[in-house]
Amino acid sequence: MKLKVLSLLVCAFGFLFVSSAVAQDVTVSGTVVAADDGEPLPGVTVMLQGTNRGTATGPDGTYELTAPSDGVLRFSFVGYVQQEIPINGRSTIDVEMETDVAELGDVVVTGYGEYSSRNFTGSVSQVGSDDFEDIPVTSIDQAMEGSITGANISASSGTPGAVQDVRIRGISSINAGTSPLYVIDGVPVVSGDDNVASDATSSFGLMATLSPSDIKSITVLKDAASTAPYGARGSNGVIVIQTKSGSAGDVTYTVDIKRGWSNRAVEGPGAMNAQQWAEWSAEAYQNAGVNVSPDAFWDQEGTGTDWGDVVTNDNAVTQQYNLSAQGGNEQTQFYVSGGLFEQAGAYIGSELDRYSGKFNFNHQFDERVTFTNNFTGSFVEQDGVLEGAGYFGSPVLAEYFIPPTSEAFNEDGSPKIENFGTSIFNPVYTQKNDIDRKRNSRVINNSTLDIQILENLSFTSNFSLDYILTEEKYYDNLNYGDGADIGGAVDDIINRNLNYVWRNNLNYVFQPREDHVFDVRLISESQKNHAYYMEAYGERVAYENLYNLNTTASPQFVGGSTEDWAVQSFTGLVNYTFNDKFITDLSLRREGNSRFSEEQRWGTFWSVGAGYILSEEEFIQNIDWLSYLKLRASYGVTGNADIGLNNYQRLVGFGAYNGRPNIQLEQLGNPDLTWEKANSLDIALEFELIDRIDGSVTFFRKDSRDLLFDIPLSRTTAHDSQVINGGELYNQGFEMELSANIINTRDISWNLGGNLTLIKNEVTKLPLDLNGDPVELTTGTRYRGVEGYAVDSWYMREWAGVDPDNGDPLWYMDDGNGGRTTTNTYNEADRYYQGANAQPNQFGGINTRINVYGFYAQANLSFSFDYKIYDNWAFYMRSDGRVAGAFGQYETALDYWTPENTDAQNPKPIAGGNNNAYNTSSRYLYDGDHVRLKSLNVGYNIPTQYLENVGLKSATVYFTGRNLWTHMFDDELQYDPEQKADGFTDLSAQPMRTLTFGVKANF
Amino acid sequence: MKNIIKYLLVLLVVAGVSSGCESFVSPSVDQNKPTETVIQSTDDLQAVVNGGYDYLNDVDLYGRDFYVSGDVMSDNAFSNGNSGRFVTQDQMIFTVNSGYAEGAWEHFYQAIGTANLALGAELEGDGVEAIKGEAYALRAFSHMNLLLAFGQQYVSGGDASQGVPYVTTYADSDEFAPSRDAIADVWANIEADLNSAAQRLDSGSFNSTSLNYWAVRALQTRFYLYTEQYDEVIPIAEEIINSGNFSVTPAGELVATWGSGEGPESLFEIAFIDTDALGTDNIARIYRPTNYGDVEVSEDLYNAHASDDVRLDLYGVPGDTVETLLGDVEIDSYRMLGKYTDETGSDNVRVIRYAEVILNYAEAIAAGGSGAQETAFQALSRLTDERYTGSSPYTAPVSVDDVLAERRLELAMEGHRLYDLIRTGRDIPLGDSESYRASTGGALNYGTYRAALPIPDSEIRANSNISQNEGYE
Repeated sequence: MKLKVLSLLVCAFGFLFVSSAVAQDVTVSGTVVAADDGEPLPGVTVMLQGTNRGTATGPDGTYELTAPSDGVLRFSFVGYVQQEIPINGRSTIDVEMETDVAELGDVVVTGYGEYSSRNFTGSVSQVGSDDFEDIPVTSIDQAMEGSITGANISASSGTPGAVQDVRIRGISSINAGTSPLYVIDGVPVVSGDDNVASDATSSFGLMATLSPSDIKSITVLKDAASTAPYGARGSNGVIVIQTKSGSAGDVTYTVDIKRGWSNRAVEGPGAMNAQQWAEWSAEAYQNAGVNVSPDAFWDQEGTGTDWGDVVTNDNAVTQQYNLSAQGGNEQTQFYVSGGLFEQAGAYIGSELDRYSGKFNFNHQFDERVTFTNNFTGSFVEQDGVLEGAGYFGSPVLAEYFIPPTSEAFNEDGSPKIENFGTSIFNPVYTQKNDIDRKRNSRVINNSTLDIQILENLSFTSNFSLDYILTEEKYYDNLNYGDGADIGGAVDDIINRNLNYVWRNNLNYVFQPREDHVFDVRLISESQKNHAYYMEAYGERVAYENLYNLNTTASPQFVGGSTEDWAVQSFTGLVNYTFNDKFITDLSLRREGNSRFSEEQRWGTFWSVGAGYILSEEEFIQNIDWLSYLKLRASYGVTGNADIGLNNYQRLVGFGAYNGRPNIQLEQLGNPDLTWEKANSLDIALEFELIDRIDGSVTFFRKDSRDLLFDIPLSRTTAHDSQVINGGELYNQGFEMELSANIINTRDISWNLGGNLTLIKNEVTKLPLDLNGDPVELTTGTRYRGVEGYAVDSWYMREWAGVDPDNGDPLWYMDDGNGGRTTTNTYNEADRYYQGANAQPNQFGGINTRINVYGFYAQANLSFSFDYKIYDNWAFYMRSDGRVAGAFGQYETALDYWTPENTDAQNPKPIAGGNNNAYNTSSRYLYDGDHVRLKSLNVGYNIPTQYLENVGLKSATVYFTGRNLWTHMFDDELQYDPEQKADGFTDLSAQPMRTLTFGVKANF
Repeated sequence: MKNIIKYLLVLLVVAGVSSGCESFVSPSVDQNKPTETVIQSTDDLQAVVNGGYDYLNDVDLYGRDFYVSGDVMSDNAFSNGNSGRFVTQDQMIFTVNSGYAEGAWEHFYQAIGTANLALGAELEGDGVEAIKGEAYALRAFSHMNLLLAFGQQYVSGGDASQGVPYVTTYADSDEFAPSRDAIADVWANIEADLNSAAQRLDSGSFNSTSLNYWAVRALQTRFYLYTEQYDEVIPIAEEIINSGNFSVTPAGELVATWGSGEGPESLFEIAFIDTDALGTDNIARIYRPTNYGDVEVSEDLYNAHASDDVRLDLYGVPGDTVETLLGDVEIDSYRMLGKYTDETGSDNVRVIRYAEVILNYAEAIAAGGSGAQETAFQALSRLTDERYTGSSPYTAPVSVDDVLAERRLELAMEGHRLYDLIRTGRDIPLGDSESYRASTGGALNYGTYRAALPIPDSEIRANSNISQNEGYE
């Protein structure tokens, strides 16, 4: 019986097939226009569904093709909603394409699934490729600066490829990691500079391996509801990156060429010139009772040197070439790209070259099974410089330290090889002849099998590999510089990192009754990371420019190690929508992490979220000007396991004594060690007014607890500390976003938006040491962790200026009666909280885009307030004579006390120093408050009528500027206000200003 | 429907494979081993003791700082401050944050930690006792140095209860915050541990780079001399002398033997081979005219040598040209060149030599120790016969002062001078007016609190049971 039914069915379908085969072919034509302005749309793909037959609309928006009279035509174009229209025997089909507003913004990409933002209760911010693809960023995280509410982003250094310090909603930890988790196409990847062994030279951020051109969107997950699925990796926020993929239709090629020029964004404090320095040095000696004239410091034979000029590149070139193609048919779509990016840094000898390729494709095997594979490969070479501390070979240091009376070059133009009286090396020679290089090869492959088991039940299995190989080479030449007294040296380091993630995801959507929609996901995820490191170091290089280990005569060091970590988790997510009005999100995650002992290995994390779309209610719908209003809240527990490996174990290490093996005591361990945890509350109101203004206001509070601390131990234990969970802190604040379409006509539009974040951070509890006292972390400059203060609050002696009577330095001290008085004795001065920490407490951005016919202009202004930065090398460069005649000085040191100039910034210079004036104090602490034009982008979309003859679909020429303008509110601050997250200037390469011209064409 | 079943099967397989197995989240420990189970064999036990020696060869201890400071903090040497090193030791003005004090405190207790780990091992078999003997010696030796550096025994107004914690366990959380043991108790514990060591070690084997039987016997002579138990010094010294195993290096070979990086007549020295070398922090770089070169010999010490003293050849004097890695350098000061010859750091650091045993023996006799086979003069002549081309400057009967004068010359730049001065109740004179100490008062009288280091602030903060030394509160 069954068979008969089956055969009947076959017959029936067979008939259908036959009948379709005999349907008449007709010629269909029509015009495709944009729905919003009625303009014809060229380049729209028109496909006969189920076949590879198709065409594209011409410059006037018209098309014509032959198709069966009962066929279905599919119209698709990037940025517009795809339409499927049955022919039904018609010969003319005109189509209006609606702008695809859902493409971005209305879909939340969490990495674990995509949700309609309307039906999501978490707190996220997104930027799309439009916002950053014209801007020549080295690293994709730079693209978020000023655009992501709640995220503070600063470069750890201005060297191309350096790590970006990203802090989302404040600093959530004192001793564990504070950087967010990065997720690419749904899979957690390795980030930061984890794959680099040496930190004397420029850092290398792994995000610089990705070509921004291949990225479609960046989503930042901030609250418990959105990050809880990431369990113990979510406390610092999650950055979800989605790469571009293809869509069905004719192949579209895109060429993007940029060329730009970089200089320092802020010129910096500058150094005294030779004449000034010689006079200043002489005066310092005279004030110390040594009668010398400026001639003693400068024979005036040469012209002296502006070392700032010598160590920096003028208009360092940036160039980028990117070619991509995307297209496909019903079953298979692809996106493929290749790119070349070269950027020279602002300092001599610093450069980044990136070669990248991408191949994303997906193929539908049958109606149930889809396979997707995303592949990214890159090779990046970073030539760095010694920076971040007082390295003698650092060009950043040389700018200020080498006396300006010296000459950088010989008469024949070659760099001078001498010690300039300071043992600091001529950076022109060392940058040319030494190597500080990192070469990074990275492959990320991400394969997904998606099985639509039932209409509402799907299963997805995803396996992703992230393979990173970093080769570091540090070569000191044998003639001059760091290598001179050891006959040259070669240090070769190889770091290999393999990270793989296997995730299985079961998604079930069911609707028990109308108005009730459940979206349930069960996810298991296994992640493992294997790292391998090997280093060899040899001295006595055989010959100039031979820089491999085989050419060193004296091997000094070999080392190698392997380590791994693993995370396994089981997660359940439920999204429930009632009546399209009430939404709840629940998540529960059980996670095992290899960083903890067996007893502590498994933890549970959870979140609940609720949303209420008030504008669905009648009483709101009656308010004309309010088109959308949603209230949402979430609460949950996330974790932070970003700590060293195997910290819980009591371990010994191995070495050698006298050529025989030895065993030494490595760590005491703590079997009770567990995650840092954070309880996050998030309450937000989202709204849209008069269909033109949308925005949101969010309150958040994140209570971090079980913070890791090293409890100091009596050294008689043979250890200095033990790591325990103890402290507590919180971050709390508001986030506001607003975007207004002020003008919105066919030819002219103007959008203005902004975001603002207010944050308060406070340490509320510290663990107790063995004596029962709180373990306060106070350094020479700040409270790292002290109850009642923000993490890294500046705390130091407070500068009271220069004594107008005698040029002495003055500091404040308690007067014993509850007030303050001044003293010229450094050791009498008291230390005070300086009213700020190193992270801005108020920051945000203002952005605008104006389209006028084919022209557009886009600007992004960022601002940061209420933080301070400390110039921790000013004690040399504003030394008040301490290093007179030895090291160069800031130009600002010229404003010093004399009997005539009593209202000076700097004390009277005295050789050997004036009363410890150089010592750590708020004298070198500056307000970082600033406003900066992060990017300005002006372009012109060339009208299509000029392009058709040359075979282009579209073309844009544009100009962009990055960091074009900066205003600092502290008149005394000369450095760039954007410093690394810890707030120290640290002789790091300064951020760059880049001007770029670009051309982009589709064909 | 069939397809659905197929997919469900795939699903089940996948779910089965990926469901939690504990081993997936167990970390590899590839460079380390759990402390509790690491000692499985005598080789492991020996490796732990080697680990203790390796702490001693840290730059903070015998690698350089502790060893060199014994001379810089005396009339033997001073710092020229060329690279800013040893200036505080020269001045003898320490703060509770002194890196020198902290390094010495921390690393000696690490060596003690390894000794205690070894001593706590439950292991039987050949050689176990001998290795444990080394561990006892390491523990005694480290505590003795801590006591000399931090104890209040030579400080006026010093409290007899203010020795140092004598630690005999590792990783016992009940003992994590010990208080200071009384000075007498520390001495008694050192004595007991040295005895335990001597009982376990084999007098038939000798290796100068580990704490061997003869080294322990020699340390016992030092111990009993320091604690003024002269009667105890004599028989042990005579056992060493009469064993026939050791002899004083002949005058003609002395400079060359020092130059070889080992000996002369070392009973125990800390080994430095290429893989242990301390790079630019090595001891030769601080004595020789390198880019460090901070420690110079006082003219006073140089002049204390008689003109026929063969040891004069170990010094460089103003005007000499010295071959260094950076080329030839003409020096303008007195320097100890002959004892530390290798700027790449492969000179062993001599901890106790046969010469010291003879000096200990002679001093014990001169100080009134009974039962000796020889007079102090005869004992001292065993050494001086090989140090002067003519006759020695001493005549019978030699006094304690004579022995100490010879001791200063023989053990110069071997870390003894400060302790020889203070243990005998002498002032600490200024060897040279160029010394930084000249600007801070010059000579220090016996009993000065500055002869003892402050207990590091980091220790006091972590352990409230420890009290600070006189003068540093």
